[in-house]
Amino acid sequence: MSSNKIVLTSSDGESFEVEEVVARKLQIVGHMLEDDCVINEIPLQNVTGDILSMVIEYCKTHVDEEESEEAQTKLKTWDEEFMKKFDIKTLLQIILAANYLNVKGLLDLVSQTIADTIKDYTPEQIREVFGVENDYTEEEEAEVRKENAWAFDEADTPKP
Amino acid sequence: MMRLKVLTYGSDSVVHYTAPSAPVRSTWESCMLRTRDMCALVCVPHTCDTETSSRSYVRHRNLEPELRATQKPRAGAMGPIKPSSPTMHVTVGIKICDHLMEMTLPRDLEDEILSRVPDKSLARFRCVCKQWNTQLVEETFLAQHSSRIIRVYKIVQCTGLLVCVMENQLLIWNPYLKVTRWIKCSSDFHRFDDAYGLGFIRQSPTLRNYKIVRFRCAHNSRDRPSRVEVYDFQAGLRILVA
Repeated sequence: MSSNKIVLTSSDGESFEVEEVVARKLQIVGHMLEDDCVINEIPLQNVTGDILSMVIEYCKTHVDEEESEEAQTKLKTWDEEFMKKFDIKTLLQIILAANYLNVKGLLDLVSQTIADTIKDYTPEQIREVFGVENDYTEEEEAEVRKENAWAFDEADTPKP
Repeated sequence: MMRLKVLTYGSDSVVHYTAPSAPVRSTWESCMLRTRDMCALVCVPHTCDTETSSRSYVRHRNLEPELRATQKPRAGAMGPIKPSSPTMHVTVGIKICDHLMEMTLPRDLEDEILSRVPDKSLARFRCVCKQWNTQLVEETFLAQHSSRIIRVYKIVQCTGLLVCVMENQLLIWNPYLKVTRWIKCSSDFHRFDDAYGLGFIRQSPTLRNYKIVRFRCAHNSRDRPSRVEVYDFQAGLRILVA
């Protein structure tokens, strides 16, 4: 395994020195390295230091993905714990970063975590988190709510 | 002079902004920036005179000078700034930046998330805005969504109790009582070849002991061995009959 170090620099100028194998988990970096193998400092324009450090933490943990069931279970537990640290706003920043840096595993993990978090949200909460403006008139919104009334009914959740 | 770099998600445009006047302590510099597809109100504390120290100041308070954009910055969000109270400036600044923190996800990421949300939540989210109302029933989205739904291969029923044959397990479901139980199948399980039957033995007028029978005939199963298996609910056991 190569011990070559790569420096990743965030949009706000924070630098992280990581092993090349870790940096390659960011496919955007992998592609840059293939194009020109002498790069050792890579500026990442669309991600801040705070978010980049989390992406790197994920990549370090996932650097050798073992096939064994035990290792898989351990990683899965780590993923769950890792995701618990973030609020919804941070998760949205991580998904943008994972998409830009092209880290497939993290993109899937964050998408699922956001989906699990927002599934019980009301339309009002969704608008706030996603920055969506309500363009319905009061009558129109009432109509759409009526059509989907079953989805607003809380009483049918089975109790254990 | 302070140089400010504005980066926007969704486009690669970079705008450089130079503060028009010499830095004054404890005031805020704000400017409207228009990039190719976004309009942003950017506020930067003006307490520092170099890019580097501005960065560290801003980071310290979890504010970042680049992209805090919404499509329509609220008019007057800046609020009045009282030069006499430096703490006040910080509070105002955080508030503005929080507002500007709202970000718009690109459509493909939005779909990536929403395709993992259950049907019931999606039906509720159709009330979010007109765009979502149509987006959530578009064929491309529904195809993405249904590819993540659990597949049921066969359903057998008896007196309102259902057995659903899934990928590698059976789901026993009483829709009336809203009770479910999962049964993990042995390794030679085959979701297409096997036939299932569900029945019960009446043990008393009120007590029914349900059993599932799984049957496979070699002739219909590309010469995999024939077998019959019974699952007994009361004992929770699988009994291999043949």
